[in-house]
Amino acid sequence: MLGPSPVESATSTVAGADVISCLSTADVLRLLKVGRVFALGTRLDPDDLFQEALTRVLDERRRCPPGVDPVVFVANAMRSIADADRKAIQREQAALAEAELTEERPASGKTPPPEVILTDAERQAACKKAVDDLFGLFADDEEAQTLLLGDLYGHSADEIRQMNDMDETEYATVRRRMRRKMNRAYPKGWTT
Amino acid sequence: MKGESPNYEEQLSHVIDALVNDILSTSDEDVLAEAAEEYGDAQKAAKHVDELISRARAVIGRRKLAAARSEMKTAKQSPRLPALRLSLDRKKHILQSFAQRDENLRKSLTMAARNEKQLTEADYDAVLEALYTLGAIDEDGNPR
Repeated sequence: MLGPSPVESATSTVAGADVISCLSTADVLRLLKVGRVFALGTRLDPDDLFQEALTRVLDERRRCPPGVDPVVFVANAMRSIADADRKAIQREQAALAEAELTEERPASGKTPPPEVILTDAERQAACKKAVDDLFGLFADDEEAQTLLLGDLYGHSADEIRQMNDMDETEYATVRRRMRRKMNRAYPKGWTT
Repeated sequence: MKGESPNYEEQLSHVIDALVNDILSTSDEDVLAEAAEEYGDAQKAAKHVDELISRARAVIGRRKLAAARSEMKTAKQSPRLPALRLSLDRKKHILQSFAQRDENLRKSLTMAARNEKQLTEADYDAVLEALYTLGAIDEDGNPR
């Protein structure tokens, strides 16, 4: 997991410029790949997602606690930005649905208004489609599907290897294959 | 619970975590090799990285400049010191009354007059601010 949100201390955090200067070319390329995954369900281009995270770090709107890996710190910033965009989209969709269903709104009670149920169901459907699409991408790769199934249920890399009797090299080989296929399929970010 | 629909949002969140963790733990060698494949070669990938970082720094630079300009504009429109809103004659009077007691200030004012250097209102303001900072006058320009 990316770890809990870092606790920010005004007196001991690392300056934004220092965080950025710690990032190697490989680190930035890693973060761009991470951006492609986080971009799912957002309106953000992966490069823009990375850039926005970078400007927030440089602007000192997010401060990195000492001892936290700068790559993880920036990745967490990207995750927050992507989450915020998805929530904004949900709010806009709920507002649109509310506007359309205003005349048919039931009397107030314990049941959530129809537009909220509609949005929750739509969200579940969108998530299911994203996962189904990913399985579809690896339709001809049984090993990749096995790893994906383990991911789906929140199993760690160690657990997945043990469950499938894979050593680290075999596991890394399948992961590499999965990354390359996703890079080719979603060069501008994971979409459904 | 039997019959309960799976939580697809939770499942997707797990998949995202796993994919991201995999990327973050990929070796530099693999990252650079995969980037070379995507961008055509490693140099193009590195150039793209440099451009993104430069662009972020430029955005911050522009924001800081805009903030500094805005701050200056605000400072000009609302002087910190009420004494700076006094008339020029009043400001001159305050300085001259101090000059009578302070030899250095008197010499400076005299030299300026001899060299026909017109003291601008900004010059008077600067001295008033200095006197305020030193505690010689209050914010309205009255001697303490």
